[in-house]
Amino acid sequence: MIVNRVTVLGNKDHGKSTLIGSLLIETGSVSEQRIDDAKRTSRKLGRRFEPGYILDSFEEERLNEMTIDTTRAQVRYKEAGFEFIDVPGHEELIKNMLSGASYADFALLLVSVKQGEGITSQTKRHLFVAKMLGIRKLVVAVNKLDAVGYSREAFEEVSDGVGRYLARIGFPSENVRFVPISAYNAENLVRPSKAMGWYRGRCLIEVLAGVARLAARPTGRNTIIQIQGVSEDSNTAVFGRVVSGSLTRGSRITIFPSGKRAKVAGLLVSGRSKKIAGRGDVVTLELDSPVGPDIKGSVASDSDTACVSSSKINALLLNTTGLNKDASIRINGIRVRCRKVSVKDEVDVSTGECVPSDRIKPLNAGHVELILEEKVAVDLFERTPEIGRFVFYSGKEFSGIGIVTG
Amino acid sequence: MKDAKILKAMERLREKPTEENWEAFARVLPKSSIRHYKIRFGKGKVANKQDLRRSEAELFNGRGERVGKVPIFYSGKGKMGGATIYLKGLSILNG
Amino acid sequence: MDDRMIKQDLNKLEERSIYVMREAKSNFKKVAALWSMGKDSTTMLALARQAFHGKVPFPVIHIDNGIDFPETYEFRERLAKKWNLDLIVEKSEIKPEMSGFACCGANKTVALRKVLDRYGFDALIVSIRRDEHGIRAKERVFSPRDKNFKWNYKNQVAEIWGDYSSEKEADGHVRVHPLLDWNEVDIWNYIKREKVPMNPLYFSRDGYRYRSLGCTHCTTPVKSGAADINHIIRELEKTKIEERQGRDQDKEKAFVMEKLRALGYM
Repeated sequence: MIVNRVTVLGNKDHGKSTLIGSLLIETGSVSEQRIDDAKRTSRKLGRRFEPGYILDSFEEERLNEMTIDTTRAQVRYKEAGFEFIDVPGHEELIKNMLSGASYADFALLLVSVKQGEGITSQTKRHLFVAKMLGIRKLVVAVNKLDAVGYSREAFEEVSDGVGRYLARIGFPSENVRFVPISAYNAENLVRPSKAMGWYRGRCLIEVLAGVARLAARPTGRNTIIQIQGVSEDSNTAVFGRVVSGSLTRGSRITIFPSGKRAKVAGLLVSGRSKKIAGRGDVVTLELDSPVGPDIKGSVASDSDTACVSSSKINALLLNTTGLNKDASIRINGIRVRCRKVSVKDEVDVSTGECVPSDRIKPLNAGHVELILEEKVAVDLFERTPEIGRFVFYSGKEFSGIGIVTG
Repeated sequence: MKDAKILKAMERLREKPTEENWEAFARVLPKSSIRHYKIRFGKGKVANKQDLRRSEAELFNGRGERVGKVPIFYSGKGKMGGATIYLKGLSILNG
Repeated sequence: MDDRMIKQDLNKLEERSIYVMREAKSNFKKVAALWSMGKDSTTMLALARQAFHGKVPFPVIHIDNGIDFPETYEFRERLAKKWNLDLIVEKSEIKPEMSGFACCGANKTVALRKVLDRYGFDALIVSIRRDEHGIRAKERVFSPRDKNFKWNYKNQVAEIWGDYSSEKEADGHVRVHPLLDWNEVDIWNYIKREKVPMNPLYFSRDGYRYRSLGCTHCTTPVKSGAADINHIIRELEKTKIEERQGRDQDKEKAFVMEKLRALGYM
């Protein structure tokens, strides 16, 4: 079963947990017991039952602040699974969007149709980050249609407004789908809505499934293997993961940044001998010559031009806490100190405006040039995101993330 | 009788469950008829799982007949601890 | 997580676990793993062998309270020999002057701390799964602990882009959780596929079997005729945990929570 990871963006009170709770219920992805528990809990608390309560229905856990992981609600629909990753805060967003070897190529933006409930600046920031990190397609669920009598005009007005803003920040209309819903009443989530007969599109889960299919990453790119380290048992056995392309036993590879060349005499995938390793495979490369432990953080490829070895990088940086001295980055699994950080301009993430500057305010982004203390294997984020991105530190503190632009 | 040695060892354990007595018990256990065990948590109205001293292991032969019982802790030299490792080789009798 | 029985892709799970363990080995100086001879930690060892040329290249720690099942001790010895494990057994001490003799929970933390201090381990592989009751939602694959096993989860960054931060406090250690994404049914499917040796108590005898294994004083069997793995998997897939007998469910939940408390997760 393919599990699609969907980042859910939007203001807290626009109904994210109601939406996820309703989806869980409507698709039958949650047990009767859990629903009953939630109903019982809400009765005890003197509140009307709300689908969002499904997400923390175990009273004991709620009392102990051990809520069910709202960031990993798994909804099953036909042959596909959706993992909705809620992003309550800024850092949560970055962590949740970026964790794992495969990240979502699309996101679900939840907005309210009610007047006066526009998009907050935090949501705008989230959208910027989403765009920066490679999200190309958006599904916009316009919620709370029940509050406006399921009015077509209200839906279209909000869709137009939001659509214009999205286009301005880099999500052209052909990459955005709008779906009217009422999460609370489960309208148009999993089944077409009678209340909104004027809506000609498909229900939300169908739209998500469709976009998921389209958003699959392109394959057939350069062969790139990120190296984790060398085996304790044998200094010719290298551990790594194939991040793109494929590798065949017997191939000759080049290791970046050292430039060393070797032949892959043996190839293991998850510990088992195989002829070919594909994208995502965790591999052991048995080389024809020994390597040292400093190979961690290197990249191997069967092509000389798959990536570059460089100590100078241009990047778009998203700053969270503030840049100060003692900057370092974490790329390809290793920490590298920055000898110099020069800020070229600053980007206001809520508007997308870019102005020349020599500093970046916290929570804003900007283009920088980094001079590193040593060479690293790197590629443009656009081309090979796995080796074109890094985490930024000021001293020991996490300071932001960056993508390589040149 | 086949189980003379093990019964003696079990009696000594009930008297004084020192590590030496446990080791002696473990030495003769394989040659005895004992195959199974069952853990009981003390007697009386409130069986207390928390107090090791009130738990015992009942021992059974291959036909499911009760042969006798032993404590499940060792003590001596100011130390005390669990001793079920000395029942290694036996299997539990459920039901 | 609600539906423990959602079967996931075993290859993907195995991949990630291998990746995590290799990452732990290359990022930390002294790695060790906790082993309880249970199905999860034994599966973890099997995964380690897949990751490291058929060996388990780190010490394996058993915090022993002395009242495990005899079958468990026998299994420990047998597998340690077969897989040539570097086994460290640390006895959790029982003090007679304590009111009541605690079983699984209390003293295990003390024993664990002793072992960590004595050997200077800076990373500890623990086989917890996210679908276990009581696991904090925010538990991460790499999770730093200070010397009191406290976890400051508000102030850490980890796992951005699958890149695991190995920053840790002095005197602390990092918990590594290679099985975090696995469901119970995935563990059994892997055991079946790879023929991972298992403690015989898991399989039905006299109409009972043990679904989770603690010590003799806190584990109760469930009524089941499942005598082999296929049976167990079928049983798991049919019954969701909430639907099982209430008593068993409460007991198992209480047991799991106690286990987690002992390891400093709650």
